[in-house]
Amino acid sequence: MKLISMALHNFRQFYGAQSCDFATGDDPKRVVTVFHGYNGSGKTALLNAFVWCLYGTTTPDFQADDKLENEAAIAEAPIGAEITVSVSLVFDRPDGRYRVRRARVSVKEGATQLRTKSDTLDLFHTNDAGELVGVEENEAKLQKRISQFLPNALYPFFFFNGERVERIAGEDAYDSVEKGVKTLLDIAIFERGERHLRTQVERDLTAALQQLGDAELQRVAKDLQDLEQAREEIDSQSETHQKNLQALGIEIGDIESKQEKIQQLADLTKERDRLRADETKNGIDIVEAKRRFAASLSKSGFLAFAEGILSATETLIVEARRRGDIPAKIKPQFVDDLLAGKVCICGTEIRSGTPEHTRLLSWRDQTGLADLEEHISYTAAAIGRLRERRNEYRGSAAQFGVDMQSLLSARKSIRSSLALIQEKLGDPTHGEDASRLHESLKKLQRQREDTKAELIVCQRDAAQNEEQQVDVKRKIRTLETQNEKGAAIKRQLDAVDHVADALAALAKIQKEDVRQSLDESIRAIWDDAAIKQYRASITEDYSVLSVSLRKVWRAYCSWGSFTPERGAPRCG
Amino acid sequence: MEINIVATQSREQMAEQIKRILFGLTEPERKLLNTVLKLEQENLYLEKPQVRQDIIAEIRKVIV
Repeated sequence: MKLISMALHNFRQFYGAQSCDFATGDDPKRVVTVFHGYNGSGKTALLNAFVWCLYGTTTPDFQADDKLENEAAIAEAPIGAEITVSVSLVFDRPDGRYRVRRARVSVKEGATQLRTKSDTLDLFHTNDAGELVGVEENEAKLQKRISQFLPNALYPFFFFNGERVERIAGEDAYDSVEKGVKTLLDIAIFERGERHLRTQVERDLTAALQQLGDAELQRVAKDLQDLEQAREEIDSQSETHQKNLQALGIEIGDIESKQEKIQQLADLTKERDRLRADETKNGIDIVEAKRRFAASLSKSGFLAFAEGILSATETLIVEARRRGDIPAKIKPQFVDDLLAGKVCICGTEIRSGTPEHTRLLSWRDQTGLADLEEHISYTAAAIGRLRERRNEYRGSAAQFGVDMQSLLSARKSIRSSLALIQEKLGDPTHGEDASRLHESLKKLQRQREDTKAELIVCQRDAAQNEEQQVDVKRKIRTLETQNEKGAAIKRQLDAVDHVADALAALAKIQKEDVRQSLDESIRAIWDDAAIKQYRASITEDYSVLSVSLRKVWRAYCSWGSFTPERGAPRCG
Repeated sequence: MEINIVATQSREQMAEQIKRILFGLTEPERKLLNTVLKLEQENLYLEKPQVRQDIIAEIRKVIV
């Protein structure tokens, strides 16, 4: 959606007809439109002109949102006269140019009193000849079309003022930002599709099955319904806990900033912040160490148990060599040629059924070992390589143990220092305010810990419920039904399950695509802007991870068995 | 249907995964998937869209 122009008529500070053409980027020298003005000059009114024109509403912080008409226009109109306020917006979409016009006609009933007479919404779209013509639909349908261009939930990300910019960065805005990003980047349609299939649609079909199916099928369908209902309760509890956690986080943040403002606590709060930063960094280091070891475990972990089989294989090869089984003395092709030529190298004729023929056949059986020769020689070489890998893996496992011990002991030390600081912050000698804040903080932190524990229980219950649902659905599929309609519903439930699985998988791919794009962008911006030797990336849970390049280099060297002194590896 | 998505993969691998997912569905299931996506797209602007009846109607049409 590219904005082309806007026209206002008696909208708030804008008296009479006013219009503006936006920089659309067609001219590379005009790519941005700036509205610059003093407080109260109408910048927020312009923002609301967009919102009102598209959705018939205004932003929550817009004052006196019921009075859109220009004050001068009201003042000069005689009592009983009609005053029109309108906003027109022209924009381009991939399917052509659109113009939306929203207007309100009011009747002046007193010096400042107005009565709304009518509200109208018009939508125009370019036809094949390139002319803008009115779309003939009722207002509800027109509004639906406009909302489809830019869903209401998304406009706050495009039309916002300075105050909203501050709020959007706050912790309490995470949910709405996540929802907005998912909607904007087409993740939401996959997730919503899956949810609707798995809940509403599946429930309706299961209910129908319960009515139509056989006794056993009815019983299992009832089990599924009960599980779905239980799941809804778990999800609702989980959502409440998440919201509570968020609210507690904000309250804790508020108290901590109040503590920072108390002079006597300044040093302690600074120390607390430093320790918290250390704790976060320690957490990242632990995750990273586990990730590295998990990669090593997944690649070579099986070799930890392979010594027995490596030695046994080696013994087999040595013994086969000692016996003279390998290398094979006779090649199979040689015996095949003799059998085909029907004459031995000594000149004896070899006819089928003769003792000579039988003897040659037995030689051929022995030559079977020659087929193994190549594989045995490959295996002998591979055993050496596998042993090397096994030693490397054992080294990395030992290193992981050492690293984890050091990281966990650092975590313990940070946490005990933090606990000490918390205690000091509550020391009554710092004054009554400090003491009260400390008590409130302790209470909130306890609540937060309790809520986290309840959330974990919910997550466990949800996982258990999920498993039970899978079992019941599997059972529904295996149960035979004599009823034709019941069988059809079973097929429909199967299809719903497959399509829901596909939607979940597509959502996951779409998310990964978004994460990779974000990762590339943030890396480029960071590399351009950062002074320090750090590299930023987006993790799998969409957090920004900043890693010291020196540290990455050290980690890289240790993975690849290289040392910084030996220089960078040439390949790999 | 067993679908495993690897978290970190190239765009080509992602395209391949999408193809695999779509080919893993039967023709009626693909029709259902398209309808679900179309309905969700059309109703994306609504907080709580009522799409259940439309989806069930499509299911009854394509899977008999």
